[in-house]
Amino acid sequence: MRAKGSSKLQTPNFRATPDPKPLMEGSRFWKLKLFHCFAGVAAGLALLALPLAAHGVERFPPPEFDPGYKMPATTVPAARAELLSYVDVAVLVAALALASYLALMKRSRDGLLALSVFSLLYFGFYQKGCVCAIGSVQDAALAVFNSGYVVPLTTLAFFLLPLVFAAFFGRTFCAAVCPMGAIQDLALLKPVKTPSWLDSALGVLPFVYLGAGILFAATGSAFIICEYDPFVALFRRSGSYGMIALGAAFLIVGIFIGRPYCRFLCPYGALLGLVSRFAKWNVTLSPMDCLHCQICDTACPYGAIADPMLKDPHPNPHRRTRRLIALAALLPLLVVLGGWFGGRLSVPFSRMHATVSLAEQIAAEDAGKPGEPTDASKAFRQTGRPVEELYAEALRVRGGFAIGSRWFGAFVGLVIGATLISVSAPRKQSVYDPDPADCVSCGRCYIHCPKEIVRVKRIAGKNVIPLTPVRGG
Amino acid sequence: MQSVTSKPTSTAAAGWPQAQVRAAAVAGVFCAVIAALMLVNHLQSRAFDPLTSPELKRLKVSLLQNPSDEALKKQVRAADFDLRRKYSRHLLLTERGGWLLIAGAAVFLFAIQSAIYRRKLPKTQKVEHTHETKDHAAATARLAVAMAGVVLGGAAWALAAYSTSHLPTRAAKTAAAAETAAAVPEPAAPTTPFPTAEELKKNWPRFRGPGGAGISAFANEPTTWNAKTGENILWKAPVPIIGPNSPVLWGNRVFLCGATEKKREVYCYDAATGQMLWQKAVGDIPGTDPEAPTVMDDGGFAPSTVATDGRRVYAIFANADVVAFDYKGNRVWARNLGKFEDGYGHACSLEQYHDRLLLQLDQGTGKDGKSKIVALDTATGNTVWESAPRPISGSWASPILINTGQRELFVTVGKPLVIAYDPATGKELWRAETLSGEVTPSPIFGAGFVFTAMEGEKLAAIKPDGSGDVTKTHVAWSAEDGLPDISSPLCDGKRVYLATSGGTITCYDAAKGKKLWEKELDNVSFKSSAGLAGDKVYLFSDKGTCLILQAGDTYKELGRAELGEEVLASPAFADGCLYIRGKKTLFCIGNKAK
Amino acid sequence: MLNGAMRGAFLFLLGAATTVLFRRSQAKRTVWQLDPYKCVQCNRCATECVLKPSAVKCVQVYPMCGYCKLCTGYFEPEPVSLDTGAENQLCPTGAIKRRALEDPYYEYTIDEPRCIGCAKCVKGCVLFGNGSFFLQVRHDRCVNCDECAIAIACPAQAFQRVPADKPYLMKDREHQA
Repeated sequence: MRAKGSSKLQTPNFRATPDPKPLMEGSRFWKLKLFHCFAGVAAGLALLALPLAAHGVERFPPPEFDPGYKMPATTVPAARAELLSYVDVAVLVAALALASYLALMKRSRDGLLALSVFSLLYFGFYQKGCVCAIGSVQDAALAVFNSGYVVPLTTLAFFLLPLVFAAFFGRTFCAAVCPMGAIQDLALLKPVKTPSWLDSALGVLPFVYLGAGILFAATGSAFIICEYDPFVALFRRSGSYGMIALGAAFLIVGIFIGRPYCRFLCPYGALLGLVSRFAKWNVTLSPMDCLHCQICDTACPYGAIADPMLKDPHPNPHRRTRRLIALAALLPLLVVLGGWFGGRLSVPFSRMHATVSLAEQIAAEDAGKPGEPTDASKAFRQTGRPVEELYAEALRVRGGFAIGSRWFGAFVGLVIGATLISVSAPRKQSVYDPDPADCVSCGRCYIHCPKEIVRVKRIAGKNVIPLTPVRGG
Repeated sequence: MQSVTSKPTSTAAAGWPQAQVRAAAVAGVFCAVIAALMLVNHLQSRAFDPLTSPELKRLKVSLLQNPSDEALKKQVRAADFDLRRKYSRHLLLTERGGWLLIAGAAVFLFAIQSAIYRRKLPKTQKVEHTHETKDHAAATARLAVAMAGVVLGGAAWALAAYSTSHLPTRAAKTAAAAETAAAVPEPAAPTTPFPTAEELKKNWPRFRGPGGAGISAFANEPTTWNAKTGENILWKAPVPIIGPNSPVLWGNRVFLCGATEKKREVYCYDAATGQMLWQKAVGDIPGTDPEAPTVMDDGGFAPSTVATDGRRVYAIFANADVVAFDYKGNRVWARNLGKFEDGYGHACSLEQYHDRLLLQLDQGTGKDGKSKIVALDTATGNTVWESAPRPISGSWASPILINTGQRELFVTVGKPLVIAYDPATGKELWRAETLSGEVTPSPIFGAGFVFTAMEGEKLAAIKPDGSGDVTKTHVAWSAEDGLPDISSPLCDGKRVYLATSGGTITCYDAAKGKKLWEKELDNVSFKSSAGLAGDKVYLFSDKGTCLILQAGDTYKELGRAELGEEVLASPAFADGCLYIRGKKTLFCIGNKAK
Repeated sequence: MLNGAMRGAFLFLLGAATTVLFRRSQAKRTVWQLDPYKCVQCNRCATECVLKPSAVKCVQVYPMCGYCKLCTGYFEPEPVSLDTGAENQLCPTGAIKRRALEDPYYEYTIDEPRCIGCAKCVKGCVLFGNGSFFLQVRHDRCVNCDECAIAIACPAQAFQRVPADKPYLMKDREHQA
């Protein structure tokens, strides 16, 4: 049946037969020639194989198998079942609802703590930290700015649901649903108060990170928020040692400083804080009978308790007003300045994009700059794509960055200006109460506020409407 | 003011419950130990990564040198087994260590949390807020925020200042060039599969033009020019990659190619303006050896001149990548013809016969059957025929297709034979042993003879009507003076001209073989091949000086013209102008303003 | 009052964003996969994946395989002899199983738990054989990160998001190379 031809692989082909790709006669593979045996193909078989050989790099036609031979099938293990991702969304909704209930109605620190542990186990260790609401900001940005990217509905749900909840109930997502918040909340053992000026200065960072995350995602460059996620390596129990070390460092710092990632980096927290300012209900203490004992301030490890305005009038109200006007005038200046700085960043920022960095590498190589060609440049040259095409594509991406990084810079300018105003403006509340933007609804103040303890006991069993925060009084 | 707590705990703030403290301490120590062990495990793992283990690599190499050393073989196997065992143990330890660390951390946190949970807060001094303290705090915060802004701005400035870009910002220019390129009139698409002899004659389709003879169909090319003053230089255009191959011409297009170790490119210029119409990289060809061949300095990675038939342009490179582009620069087909076993890489230029591309693939020892002639379909790149194995051990000369009047022949030279084939079938017609050494000068056909010449052997005039081995029967005459080493001979119908890299030009009577004259020039070297336009011989020296000689029985220099750039390639002639590739530049030389 | 207005404005904004995003969304999840025809066998799949060993492993498409005796994906470039001795094998973890069929044909199977996705065999097979060995993201292992760490590092930009119900980009014999 089978003629064991010592047939040379590159048989002379006449016009009627298409030409198979010739055998690579690599000198390192000189031994190939000694083993013609594997090329045994009968003429009849060759006829069968030819229509297929016309389109491939089939250097060695497969043998004609005995009928008894059962060819193994390549296994294709399925991806995680679609249904499970909808279960994730259902669990998210349930956890958000429960967290809001526990934080605002039940006012149960115990419940929130238990929910935290659950969320850490489910969203963290079981779901392996992906997809998370924090990272989904980037998916949303990419989908908005790049029509080629289709975002899965479940990812969209992770982006939207915590924001919607925050608009009504404040940062209850942070309280006990986010696994990254949960792990830091549980790791906090010996809180040290950070000075409020440091809080204010570092409070700028989450917005910068948010802006950068959106910029790089929208340009299709990178998901930096995912790349520098400190805890996801712990959730997966695997990852680069750098990332594991970063996660461990955050946890160790987090033993003393409450939720360092949430407060000083988390971009989604910045977004939630912004929304939470205008939430319908927020975590409050008993505003009617505040004792001004400041225990809540001591209890809050996140520096979120705002002190009340003073009753006596300011000795120099005009000076304060003038300062506020000056700062307000400074704001557009800072925006413009930021935009200018941002515009200058388009070149270094655009290097984050694979196409630009490849084009830069190719251009540097062609300009005779010292250095070895990278795998990427070698791979590009192998494709035979014209360099101009790559350059044009890279310049198009850089053009996007030229606009994007200006917006980013302007946004950073805006954030700095707004922060300057916000630290200078007097608070308009009469009692000690959590600041809605900073409060992560952890519930620590409930169990220490003397009045709140009494009130919780009184309302136990009765589901009363949460207290409305007292502002503007 | 007294603080009221509803749940006073008996534990003092300073003293934690002993059990929890102990548990936490134990768990903490446990975590530290596990973390340390995992770190050690990680650091060790670098030493026995089976992918990179230098020890195993070393053993394998020494085994290759002594393949029969059984003890060494055993050692390799043992080392391999040991590596894999360690590696899988490393993975297992990492996995288990991860779980243990998490469990330890959980116990630690639980112990401490349960101790401090609902612990009465230490009494702190109440902060008395006044307008003064608040204003002070606000001022400090403003300062801190401003500092944060300054730091961010400084970082941005530093980032911007220290970033450089090599990207050509002349994108607009490139785009504009592409647009005007589209504006250059496209020659009407030919409908026949291959050009007629007339069309071939009018153009310059291959190395040294039609039939590889180096003879222009015109006689109105300029005889004076100067690159420095710009005299008669119609245009010059930079060539991105240097190479010794020559330009070819078809209609309003000039083609040539270039290659480095890393990349191979084909270029198309507008013959009228010198504007580059396209530049195409050649890559992604299945079977191409990622390692570049070793090549000579002079030859480089693209020694072979491209060929064109008015439909497509074909190029072959030193690594035996063959590629066809259409006139718009779209790749039509590409093949790699196998790793070339030749110390210098493939160097023979391409010839065409009807719709076939003829390739002379000489390599190896001559006895291993690797050398052959291959005819590819110009439309698809498929092999149409292959010659029988050639007893040729390498050639760097370009084959020619000639028409003797009786028949068409495909003439190839190599060491030691000149072999003529039937271009339709690849059948050998005759052969003669007239060559030796590293044959580089190409054959020519003129005055009824096929001329072959090689330094160290002879100039032979072979009658092309024989069959079989014609060494003894058809070699009409031979001569041994002034033999070329690189430059190919030129025949004006009556005389044969030879030029050497030593600077000697020799002229023979084509019919009888009588030496007519010989001229030795000082400080001149000829590597480029001579061209003939009308009765004028154009011969470029490697320094870029062109000698223009009167074709005739005595040496008569009509003039010298300077290109100011090194020349290895041979000129291409067109109506009223000639194209020559210098080291870095492609020149179009023609009579200006007449 | 002001709060309510701001909240309303925010919800309106969120609604608008949702409408835009909804148009760009799909019910199907996506997963990461690499295009084997773009792959340049750089070894980064083995080193960059957040999992260790990598979720990317070599697969064998049997109908493409030549069942060669001298398999250039299995043997070192210059094998001492054509047997399964460790000195002859290319795979650093010995993850390719070789089974003799009728001489001179051999069947090659990937022992997946051992495979680390280093692509050494893929390189050998693609350069000198039929290319029936190639890398794929194995979805029983992949944790489907929002951004794949290998995708960032891939020099050939071969990684892409594919629908979760068609999670593989297999090679086949008919593919136009």
